[in-house]
Amino acid sequence: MIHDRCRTTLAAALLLGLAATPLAAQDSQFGISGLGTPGRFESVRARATGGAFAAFDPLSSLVDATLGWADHLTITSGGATSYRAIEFPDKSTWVRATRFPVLGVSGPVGHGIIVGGGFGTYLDKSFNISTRDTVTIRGVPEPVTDRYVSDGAVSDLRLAAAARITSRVFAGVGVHLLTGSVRVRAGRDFQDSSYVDTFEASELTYDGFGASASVVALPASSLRLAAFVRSDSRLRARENSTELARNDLPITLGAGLQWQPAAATTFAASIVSQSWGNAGTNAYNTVNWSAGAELGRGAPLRLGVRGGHLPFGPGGRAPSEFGVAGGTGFRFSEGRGVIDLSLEHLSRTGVGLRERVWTLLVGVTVRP
Amino acid sequence: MTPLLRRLAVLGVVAAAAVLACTEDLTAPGRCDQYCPPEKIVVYDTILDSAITRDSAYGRPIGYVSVPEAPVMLVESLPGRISRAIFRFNRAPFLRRATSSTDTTTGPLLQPDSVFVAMRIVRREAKASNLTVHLYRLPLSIDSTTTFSDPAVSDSFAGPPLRSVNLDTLLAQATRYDSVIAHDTIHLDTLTGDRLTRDSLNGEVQYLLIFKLDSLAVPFDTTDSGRVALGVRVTADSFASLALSASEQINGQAPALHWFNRFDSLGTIVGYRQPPVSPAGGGGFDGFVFTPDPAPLDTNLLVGGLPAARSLLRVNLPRAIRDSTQIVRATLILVASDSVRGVPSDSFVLFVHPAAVDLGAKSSILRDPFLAPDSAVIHVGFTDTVRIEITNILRRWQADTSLPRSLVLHQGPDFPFEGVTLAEVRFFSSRAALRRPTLRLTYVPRLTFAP
Repeated sequence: MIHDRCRTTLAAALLLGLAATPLAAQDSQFGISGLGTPGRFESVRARATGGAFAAFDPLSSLVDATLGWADHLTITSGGATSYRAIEFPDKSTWVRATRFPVLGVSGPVGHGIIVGGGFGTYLDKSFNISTRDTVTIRGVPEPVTDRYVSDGAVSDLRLAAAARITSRVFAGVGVHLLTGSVRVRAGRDFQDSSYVDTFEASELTYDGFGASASVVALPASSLRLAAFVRSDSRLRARENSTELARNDLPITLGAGLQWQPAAATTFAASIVSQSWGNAGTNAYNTVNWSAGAELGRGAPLRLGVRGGHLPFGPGGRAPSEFGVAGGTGFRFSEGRGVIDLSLEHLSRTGVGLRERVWTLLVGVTVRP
Repeated sequence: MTPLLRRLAVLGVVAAAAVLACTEDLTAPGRCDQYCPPEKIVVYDTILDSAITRDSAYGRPIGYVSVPEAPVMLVESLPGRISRAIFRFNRAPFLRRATSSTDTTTGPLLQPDSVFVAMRIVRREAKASNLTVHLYRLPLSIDSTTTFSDPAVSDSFAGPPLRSVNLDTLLAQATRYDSVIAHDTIHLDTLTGDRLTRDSLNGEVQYLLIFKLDSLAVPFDTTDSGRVALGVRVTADSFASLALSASEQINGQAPALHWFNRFDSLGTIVGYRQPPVSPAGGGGFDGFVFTPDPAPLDTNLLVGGLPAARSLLRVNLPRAIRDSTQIVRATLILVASDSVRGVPSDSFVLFVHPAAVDLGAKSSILRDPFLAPDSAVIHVGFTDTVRIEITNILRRWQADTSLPRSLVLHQGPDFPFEGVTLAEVRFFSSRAALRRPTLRLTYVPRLTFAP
């Protein structure tokens, strides 16, 4: 019976993993003016706490050292459906997108070393935009509809290892291969059939490299401290093997604090700084913070808040972001399977644009 | 929550997530001043004055369709243009027949009781009033070399006609069913026996005109094997013009001659109806003669008329536009050098085809069911500039660089539509510096996608 439950859980996880193939959706309109929308290296559980628990969550790929307490083979995947309201001063609309930003595998390999890997979205570059305008051609005003479609993302393929250095210190390192492609298409439809609709398509490929290191210290039984650094080299964009651009990628510095005053009560907070400001035009350095709590056992209540800035946006000012999140999780099959649920609301404000995003996340974790 | 309910709830959530994974709906509002990709679609519009080069007209004196091969016989009496149909029927199928069913002895066929001459009018000028068709007997010597001024023909047309039929008058007659010749409902002239049927089944209204003659008008001359040559002239208050179906018209109906002979069958005079004869093949012939003679080629471009002329235009498309842009509209601009003469029904369609092979006058037209030819309607009396959209052709050239960049201008899409009217249009060629053909292009340069 136990095996049957495991199979059911594993099939559900594989189903989610297979469906994850078509990466799509632009998480934010602000990202169009830059390299894209950076992904979050957070599991569904960590998202439910506003990201505060990501620095101490082995299922998240933010801090390699947390792999140190993943003492079993663990497979995790997550999916998210977003409903995003986009509000310009004179009009608004909403879009829906579904994506699967995280897939991870980790487990011990002996000698106290835990190895983990997987992929996550590093930069989401999917969007679909239609604009209507009237242009004067041959002296006659002609209504036109322009369409811009970009479908793809830069993924972060991660391989990391962690070990317990001392009884109170875990350390981890990781390497990151940034790779991906984006199919882009731009076209113009003319309302006047005398003109032939036009479109042009291409495929851009991206590559880059990164490395990360982190430590997690346990100065007291109820206290955990994390510090992490990640350096990504550059993102190279090519079209038909011809290099189009190189953009510097950020150095990420971060720290986190987790306090567990009682067995069923945990609080955490973290802060992350990223030097996106060198990544091109309309790019800014960012500092993001988060704080959250997990209360209860079995089906715990998770709450969190987050704030900070987005790295890309027009107008000479980084868009700000504030969000609240909540969620819970269910264990079954004697703890071999975990379903995490999270609901997140984000509010982003930039020059001439405001976004409100509701995101429902579902995560599946299997420990066979 | 019981374990079973919890399990069901979990599986429900997973299933819902899997279903949601298959949907996506992304359309953001347009604010491309700030929140759109940096790629901008820019439309350029330019007039290429010297893009049309080495243009020539072909088709005179030998046309792509010449008069003897024309699918119609044009009959017109217009100011400055006169045209008459002439045709010679084949010999009669039978000159003698057996005197009885039990005897192989044959006797000669006698002069007919009546002779019916049928001809299909495929086009008539709707504005013509009192349009009258005159039928003449012509000498058997007519053939494809006969001209309007040939004395044998001109003398015949100068004499009295065998019969004259006013179409409007005949159409005003009561209708009845004709089971002898037309096998259709006819308007019958009860005095002469002439009849007319109106046929609109093929879309355009056509008429079948049948003359009833006798042996005095059309004698059964056995020395000429029963051959007969006839001619047709039209008159009207104005716009005297019609077109008769010729034997070259596919699925057409050439003139037909029906002999209703008599025969002495062992002392009893009986009637004998011969199979109809036509001018097609053998010793037959049909065509028309007209004056003045077709104008020869000059430095201008010529399309249409008879003999049917075509023009060939070479297009020198700048490489930067051909290779690195998307053409969204291309317009060929032709300036008429002379007005189109004729009657309103002479209006025709001017087609532009890409050439499959550029061999000058013998260039073949690219036949591609996925590439519809571009066209413009040329009306009689037209003196304005002609603009023809050739966007599809230029985009095809961009896709297939092996094609010659040559355009063929001709009348009608294909046979039998080419060579059905004497109307022709002339355009200034590239030799006319100020009124030469030009090409107006609207295009979008290639985008460079921002990484």
